[in-house]
Amino acid sequence: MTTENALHDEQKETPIPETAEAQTETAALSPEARIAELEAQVEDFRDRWMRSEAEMQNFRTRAKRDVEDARQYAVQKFAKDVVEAAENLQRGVASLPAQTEGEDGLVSKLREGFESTERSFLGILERNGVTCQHPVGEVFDANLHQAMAEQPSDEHADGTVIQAWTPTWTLNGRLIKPAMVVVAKGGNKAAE
Amino acid sequence: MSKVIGIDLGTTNSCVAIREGDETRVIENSEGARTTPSMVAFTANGERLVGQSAKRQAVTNPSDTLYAVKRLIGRRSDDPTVAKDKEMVPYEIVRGDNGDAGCALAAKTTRRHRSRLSCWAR
Repeated sequence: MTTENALHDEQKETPIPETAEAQTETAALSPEARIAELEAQVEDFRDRWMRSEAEMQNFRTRAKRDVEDARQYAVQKFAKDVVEAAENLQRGVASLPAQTEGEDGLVSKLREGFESTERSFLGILERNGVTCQHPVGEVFDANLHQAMAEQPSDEHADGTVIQAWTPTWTLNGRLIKPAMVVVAKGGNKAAE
Repeated sequence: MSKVIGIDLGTTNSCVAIREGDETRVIENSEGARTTPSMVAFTANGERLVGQSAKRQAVTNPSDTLYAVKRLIGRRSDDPTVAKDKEMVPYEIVRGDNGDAGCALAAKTTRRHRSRLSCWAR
């Protein structure tokens, strides 16, 4: 406590002799030297003003971009969770028995219902900027796909996606969930 | 006015923050994540991948995907920790020209300084 007080006192006291000194210095200066000093000061202020102007401009640009990003990607976390449901729905549709002639009417209706629900769900997501893309057959792209395994393939060139466990999901162009894929490597095709 | 940028260069993930006025803001990467994997990869076609994308292709390119290189910074190639790392990582750890531990890359066949590699991780 005492040390703090002492520090405060010191801080209060020090400026007084400094100002006095500065005043005597100014008085002692020749007009030319005084002009030079002021010019240097003006230059310094000008520099600072320009910097702060530029800073302001940067700040405005950044604020605009931040608002735009916040608007476009506010639902990113929510979208990432929701697409999981879409994926499950897709898996559900895929696991239904294949359509056969004379199958039970109930199964047909069930399949129809599942498929239309999936279609409408994907439509809703798309309207809100969430798009789904199936990468099978494309060249592996680390910006969109997550490589889970490599597998020899006789039909595909090395580096081609031969199997996708999940699709790629994007929100307004930004990746929210990469596709989990199996990539071709070392098959007969590669040796050709 | 000068700006202050803080970088947390982690072994696994890295994070960058900026001091704005009286508050600190973490800068998000292009995918909106606040941390980025500390990984660098060199693909067969000469491309350099950093962060998330490097991590995603690690399975397809293990010998040229570098991670945890922070563990090598400041270590000589004969360091016991480096010897242990050599057995654990899929990329090759070699002796640099000055005796430091470095990484050898198959894709580029050049040796690069591991401290520089850490810089690319962001």
